Amino acid sequence: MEVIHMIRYIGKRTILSLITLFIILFILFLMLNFMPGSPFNDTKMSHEQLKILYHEYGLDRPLAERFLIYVKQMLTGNLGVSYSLQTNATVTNMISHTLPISVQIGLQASVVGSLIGIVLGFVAALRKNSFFDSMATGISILGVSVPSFVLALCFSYIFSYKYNLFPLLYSSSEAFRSTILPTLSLCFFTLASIARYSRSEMIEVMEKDYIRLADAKGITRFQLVCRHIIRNAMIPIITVLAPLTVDLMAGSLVIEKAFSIPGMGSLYINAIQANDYNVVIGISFIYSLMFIGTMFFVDLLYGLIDPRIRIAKRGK
Amino acid sequence: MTHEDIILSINNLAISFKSFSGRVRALRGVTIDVVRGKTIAIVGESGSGKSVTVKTIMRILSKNEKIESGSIVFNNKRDNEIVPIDLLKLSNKHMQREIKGKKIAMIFQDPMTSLDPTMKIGKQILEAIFAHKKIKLKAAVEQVHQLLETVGIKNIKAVMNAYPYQLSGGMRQRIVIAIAISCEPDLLICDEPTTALDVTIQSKILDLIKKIQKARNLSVIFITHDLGVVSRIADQVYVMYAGKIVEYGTCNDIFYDPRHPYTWGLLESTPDMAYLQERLASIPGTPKRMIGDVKGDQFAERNRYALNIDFRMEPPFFKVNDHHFAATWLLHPKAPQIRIPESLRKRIDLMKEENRNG
Amino acid sequence: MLIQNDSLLDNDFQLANKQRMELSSNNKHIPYIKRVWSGFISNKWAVASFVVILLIVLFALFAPIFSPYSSTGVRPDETNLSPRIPLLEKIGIFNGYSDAVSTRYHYFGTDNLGRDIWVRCATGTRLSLYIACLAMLIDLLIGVIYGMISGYYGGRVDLAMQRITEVLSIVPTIIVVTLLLVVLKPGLSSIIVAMILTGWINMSRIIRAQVLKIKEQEFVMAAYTIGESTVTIILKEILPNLIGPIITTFMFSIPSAIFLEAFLAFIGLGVPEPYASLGSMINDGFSSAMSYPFMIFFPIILLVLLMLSFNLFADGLRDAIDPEINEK
Repeated sequence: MEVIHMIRYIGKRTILSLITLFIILFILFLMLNFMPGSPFNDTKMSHEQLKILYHEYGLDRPLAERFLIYVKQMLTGNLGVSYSLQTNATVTNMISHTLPISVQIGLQASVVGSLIGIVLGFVAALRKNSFFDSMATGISILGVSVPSFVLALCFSYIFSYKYNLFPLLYSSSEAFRSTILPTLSLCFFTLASIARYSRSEMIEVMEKDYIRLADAKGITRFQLVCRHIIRNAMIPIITVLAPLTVDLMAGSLVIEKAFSIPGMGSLYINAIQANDYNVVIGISFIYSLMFIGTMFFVDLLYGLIDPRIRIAKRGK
Repeated sequence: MTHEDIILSINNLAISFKSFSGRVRALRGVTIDVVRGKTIAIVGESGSGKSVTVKTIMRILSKNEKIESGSIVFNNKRDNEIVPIDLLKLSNKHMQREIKGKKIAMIFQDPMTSLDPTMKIGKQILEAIFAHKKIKLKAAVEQVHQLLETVGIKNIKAVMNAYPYQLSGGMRQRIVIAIAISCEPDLLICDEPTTALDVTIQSKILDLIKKIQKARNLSVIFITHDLGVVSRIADQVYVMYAGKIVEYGTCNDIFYDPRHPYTWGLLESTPDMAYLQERLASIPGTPKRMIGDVKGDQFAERNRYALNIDFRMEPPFFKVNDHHFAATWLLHPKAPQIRIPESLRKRIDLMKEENRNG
Repeated sequence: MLIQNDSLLDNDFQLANKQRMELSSNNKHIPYIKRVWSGFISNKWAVASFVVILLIVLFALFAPIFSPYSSTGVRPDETNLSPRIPLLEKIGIFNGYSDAVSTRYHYFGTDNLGRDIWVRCATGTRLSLYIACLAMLIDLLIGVIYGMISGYYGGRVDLAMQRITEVLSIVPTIIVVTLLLVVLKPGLSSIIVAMILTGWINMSRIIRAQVLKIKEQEFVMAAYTIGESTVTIILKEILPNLIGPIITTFMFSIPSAIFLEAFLAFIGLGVPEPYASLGSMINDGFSSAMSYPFMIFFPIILLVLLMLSFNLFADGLRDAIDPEINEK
């Protein structure tokens, strides 16, 4: 019984994700077609030359056809070629060079941020109104108020410029050490939001009747916290993880700029400024893919941890 | 009553909590004795403090609540010897390990919210067993089967594997009862266990509690605002108003010879008894929050029969008979002879007659 | 218990008269606004943040007026000047040490084009505050109305409107914003369009959920049964119950709007030169941050103060409006 429901649930989520992806692609494609300025603006070319170039890149075909071609290419992993940044380099290639470092920093930041955030929030909730609680509240309010680029500046000023502990800018010779400060500055917002959220969720759960009942059974406080409180508080916390990954993506643009990291964020900004259609669309697509993937993953996790979602959904 | 007969005695318990407008005095010297093997009922409107009273027994207090004075003595029976324990002085650890679930268990008001939504039913009952018993899993599962049978559940296997949301409210309350009696407690606290249920299921759950109480010789504290329920289940009744007991006695005392005007009001407003073709009476106003120091009888403002002294001095308990006491100045020898309202008189007579007839 | 007979008064055992009963039965009732107000006042952080916001607003409004400099005026002879403040310079701080000695006072110094940072900070803050007001307006005009219509009418209307917000919220905001900026050229107008497109979704969701809950309640049903018009029901019965969530939601949308602008400015997609925004000032001073830290120090402090105080203010307001959240 339960397995069937689970499969049905996964199937539904998958279809939903695919539809989402298609909509995003369509929006991206449409928007980029109304973009002002052609990628060949700077070069002084004659009308004929431009026409040839347009033809070569397929820009003279009807919109719908171009979209279909694009989707087909995209599904086979061919994201087109760059027009201006690195002329004729494939976007896939450009992304595959820049993606790993961005993903590494993003993952590091999300893991560090959510783990510390959850622990901070939970301990603050358990020791409500203590000194630790006020400290955690202070950290989380600072974390959501101080923009990551400001943090990046402070960190690099203190740890790199003053004390020379870490490289000031990204250097491939010290790859991991170079990612530490960016990770820290990037994770702070996630950490703060999660700490804030998990504290209030946990406090709410602790007031629930079922916690009182479980406590009335005479189990130890440790068992109560582990078996009942954390498990129930985790469910709503998981839902905020998805939007936070989006914030991480946005944050990575800023962080990569601040630390001169040759990642996808830097490439994205450059592509936008250079009006490089295919690169922008390609990276936006990858971002969306990551976002949808995270949402999908979070939904699955949600279904796993909360039995109500798994089965009750079928009724609706 | 001798000392040994009493399983739990709450003595002069006073509790206050901080609120926006000052200290609210939730309990103002509550004294209750629970006789071993009997059922006592605490009745009162919402906000009268009955829930706070029993929650304090289980030491479920909010952070802003403060115990001002009083004690809760639990007379623990161990190897035919009785050891009194003040529950308010016990360490949390001791309370958790020795008292909760093992000696005193509790059934909560709303079965829809009292079970952990993320845990299977079987596991939740097993958890209660393992909290106090060191037995093998197999033996424990066997016990769960017996418990579920006791509370009248048919398809035991399926229920054990179900999550709470898959069960009805009545079923869930049966599970909660099963959890409560899983470690054979001596005292069972029922905090309005039937209020959230449909009327038809209400009586089934009541019967179940009554049956278990008889079979296991449990002592029960039953909280409700429904006098109909009280008449079916209680041996002793405590009427509570504004953080104080205002009248107590046996079931017969309270139902056939009520003395406190508040009890009159409660009885008058019980629909169960309103089969006379008469307008159902209600007590005017709502209980007020007791902030800061309070003076006089708190019920006076809503009392048709309030005397001048009620606004000045709190009435002491006046003895009606050996087991019936009421805190109202109307019982003072100098007080005017105020009789129980005529409509209530009629009802009580009718009730008595009906009882006599069968 | 024994009662001393002499402590009793003569009229003690007479029935109390009715008037006295009614008088004393007046339960103390504290009005909503007063409760919110004193809840807010008792939160010292919220009050302090409110004062800071006020000071920043005053600074943004009046600093450029009382300064001899303009925010865009380039002075090639006064580039990269350190901060110099009268009086304070005498105790050795803010004394304007610099190669290019100038007799003028630039409180926050000048940037690499000789523009006065004090004035630019003020105009940059103006921009941030302007965007904060816009965020509020968009939240109110689009978010509240959208959410109310969607929640009140329900059924097909709700379904269609929900689909629209779903599609809008599927695409990560950052992609919408950056793409928009590409289509519309960087500048204030494109930030506004981006906010109009996505800034109100959260508000509309909260309002919709609230309306769905409220409209099922008895007092709305009652109004409906006695034949009140839809507009009256929405304005008189539903809207007053939405004030709390509306205020808290838009208070929280203010810091995120300010952040959005600063973020875009920092990656070079904000308001174009020569206009100042706190984000673009930080971006401009970023490369020379190590040699001229004062160039980014002041905009950073202002930005952080602004974000911090709006967050704290929103927190305090939420707790005052909905005390349960913290009482629990």
